[in-house]
Amino acid sequence: MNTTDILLSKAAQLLDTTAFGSLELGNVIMIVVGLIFVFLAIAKDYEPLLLVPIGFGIVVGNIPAVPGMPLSVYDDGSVMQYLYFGVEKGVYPPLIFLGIGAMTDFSTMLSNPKLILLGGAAQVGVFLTFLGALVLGFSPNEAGAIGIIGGADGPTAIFLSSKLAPDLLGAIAIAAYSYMALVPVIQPPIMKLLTTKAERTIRMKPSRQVSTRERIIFPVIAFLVCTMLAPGAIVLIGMLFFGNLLKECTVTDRLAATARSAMIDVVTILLGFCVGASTSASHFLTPSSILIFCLGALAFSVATAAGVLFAKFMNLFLTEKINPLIGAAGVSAVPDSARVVQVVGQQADPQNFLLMHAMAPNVAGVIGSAIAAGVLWSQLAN
Amino acid sequence: MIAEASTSRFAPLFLETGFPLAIMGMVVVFMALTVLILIISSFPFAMRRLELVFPESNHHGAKPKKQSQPAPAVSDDGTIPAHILAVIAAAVAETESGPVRIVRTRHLTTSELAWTLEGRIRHHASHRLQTRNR
Repeated sequence: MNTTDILLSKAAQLLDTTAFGSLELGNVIMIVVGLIFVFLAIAKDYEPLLLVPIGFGIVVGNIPAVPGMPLSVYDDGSVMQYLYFGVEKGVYPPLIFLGIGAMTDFSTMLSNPKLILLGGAAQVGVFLTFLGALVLGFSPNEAGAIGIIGGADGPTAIFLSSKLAPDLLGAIAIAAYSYMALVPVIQPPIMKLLTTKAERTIRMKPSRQVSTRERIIFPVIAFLVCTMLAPGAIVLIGMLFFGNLLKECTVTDRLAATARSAMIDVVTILLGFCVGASTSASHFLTPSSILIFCLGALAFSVATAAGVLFAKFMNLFLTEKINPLIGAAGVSAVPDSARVVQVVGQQADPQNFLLMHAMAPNVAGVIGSAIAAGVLWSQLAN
Repeated sequence: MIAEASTSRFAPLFLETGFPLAIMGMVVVFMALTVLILIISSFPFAMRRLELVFPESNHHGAKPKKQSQPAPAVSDDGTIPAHILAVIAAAVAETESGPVRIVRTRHLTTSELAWTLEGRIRHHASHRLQTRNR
């Protein structure tokens, strides 16, 4: 063997130990998708706290591993697999719910309780999409996990899919967070289509003042009611209301501050990054993923439309009319959908301030989607 | 064949994990939220009753802090208090170049709501309107 042959064989050996050797078209496509996510987050400000970790995770997850080296989330004993454990076993979502609870103010909901129904109406999207997924050939467990995308609640979608359909977790999580980032794009056309200009200009009365005592008692009672009716929701609802109790009870300020800042940030980073890293082309680029994305869009649109139409239905019986736009906030993308309601409302009437009113169905939507997830889990897990 | 295929496609809807589960799910969601509405609606009444038995106080039974009240804008004798005069004098000194004396004040009529007028002036002044060459 002459020197040239040795050099050529060494070059081939070197190529095999680099990622280029096993890079496939699917990996390249996914890396581009990941970079688009990062671009949208940085340049367009679309949910940057979620899309930057997810986008970069997608890039990381699609660098082909060298054979024999455990690197990806699917390789036994890899560091990434240990981090992914929190996603796979549904550890991270309840911790995120704890943080959400510690930063949620239920006052607007307590001051105008009838708006809670709008948070329930938006769950129509969950169950209609569940039926749609069954028709398209998904198993009941997979259909349940896909349907919850309509709840527009990333942690809930991840939690339920980790329990019911772990194989679809990556696609469902990416779909849920993508549509949450696209709330300002998806919702306004549906809201405008289903309402008249006169309806969009309806002004609502300011909310009453809610006492500290009410805000302390509410999470305890709400937890008991929700979990007695839907025990499957005990983990998500329990953490949500526990976080809220920390915030409202006035004696655990340090714990509440940690839950709503440092802790939720750490978990969001881990969750987003691991979900992104789980989308390697071989697992993600499948016909099922495309169907999940289509069903996710349907779920989100139906949930928005159901909220708006239910608000119009309520107006048939109410003397003090509610602005039907706030029905769109029933999807639990907090606080993005409430912000969209404010923007669309002000396009019709610049002096109309709907943000605080929209927060009521918005937080009710979080409770509603957690209950829906609990029902699906308890019924389908057996 | 097509009819059979479409029938089998929709068959899962009529199983226990189809329509029945979807309907049950919506019922449970609405039931839970309705119970919450009923409980929350009773809060104002329940709080008033509770207040009679256990008056709301600060932590560990400490007496609630006395709310600070803004100082009255006009004294009992009808004159303007010294601290209000100081604020007015400071505001006038800031806007006028030289020393001035305020010799008269009068109440505004409803058509002269100062804040509204000021807002309107600022709004109009914020636009750089092009003058037409006529």
